[in-house]
Amino acid sequence: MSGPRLETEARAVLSRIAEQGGMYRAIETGWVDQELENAAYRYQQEVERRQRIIVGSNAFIVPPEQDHEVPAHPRPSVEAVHARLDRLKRFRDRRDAASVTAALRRLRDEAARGERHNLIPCLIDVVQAGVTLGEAVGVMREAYGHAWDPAGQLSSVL
Amino acid sequence: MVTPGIRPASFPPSSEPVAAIKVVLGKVSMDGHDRGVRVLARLLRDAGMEVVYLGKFLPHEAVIEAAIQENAQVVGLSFLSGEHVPHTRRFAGALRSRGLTDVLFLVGGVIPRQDIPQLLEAGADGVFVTGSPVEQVVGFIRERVGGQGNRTA
Repeated sequence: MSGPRLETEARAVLSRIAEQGGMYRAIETGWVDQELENAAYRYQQEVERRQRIIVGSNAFIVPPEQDHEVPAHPRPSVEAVHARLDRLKRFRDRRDAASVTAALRRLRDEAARGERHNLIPCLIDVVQAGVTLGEAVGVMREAYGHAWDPAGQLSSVL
Repeated sequence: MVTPGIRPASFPPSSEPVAAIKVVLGKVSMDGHDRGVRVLARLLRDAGMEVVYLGKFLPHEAVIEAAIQENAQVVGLSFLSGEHVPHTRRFAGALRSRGLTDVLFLVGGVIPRQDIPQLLEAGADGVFVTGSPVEQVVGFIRERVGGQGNRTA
């Protein structure tokens, strides 16, 4: 692709974003999401129709007798996962519950001062009090108006 | 987020108007990459199926409740988290315990091919890894769900 074409196409996209009222608005209205979804759909259709060639996927496919398994990234065993969870539980049980709660409350108040407020000094104190990453991030999510657990499995510790 | 299924605009004039195959798709637990499953939702819709994409970060129970309410013939879970085997086992168990034994349970996503036998053993009826042509998925669903559903040209 030549330089001018890339530039022309990029400028066309930028002006479409401007027409939406800017990037922030375009994200809010779901326009960006829709554009991404449309692009993914078009891409897949091109692959399916072989208008876009993916070597090894829709062209020049390796015959089964020449194929070989690529080793997958090793995953921890169930035992290893439980051992790690037990370690976390022991860590939590050893903490001073009152100072953990106090630290989390302070983090919540600090985070409520807005997303531009610097939380790093507070986070350092909070970690020193034994707060876990999950707890700290959960409190921050709540302070910013989101759910403690986006998956809806756990409830707030505060 | 729920994307309602849209019926194809034209039915083949010769065929009896039968209900479209109903498919419920979603992503469970801490797994938010849904580009693939959203594309699949549209491609299955193009193939004449009625598709409900439930969204991501869902608890298993939310998918099962939706499958019951929608009276779905097919439920598909999409994975990129690497946690496909334990989730598939737990989900298949939950499907059985809720009496949804006739529902076709499909698993797809970024899944190492060597895990496919484990997923089938864990209770998935079919596994489609990245790069599977959509006709394969459509063909499998039509074959397993039976002669229901409409063909579009």
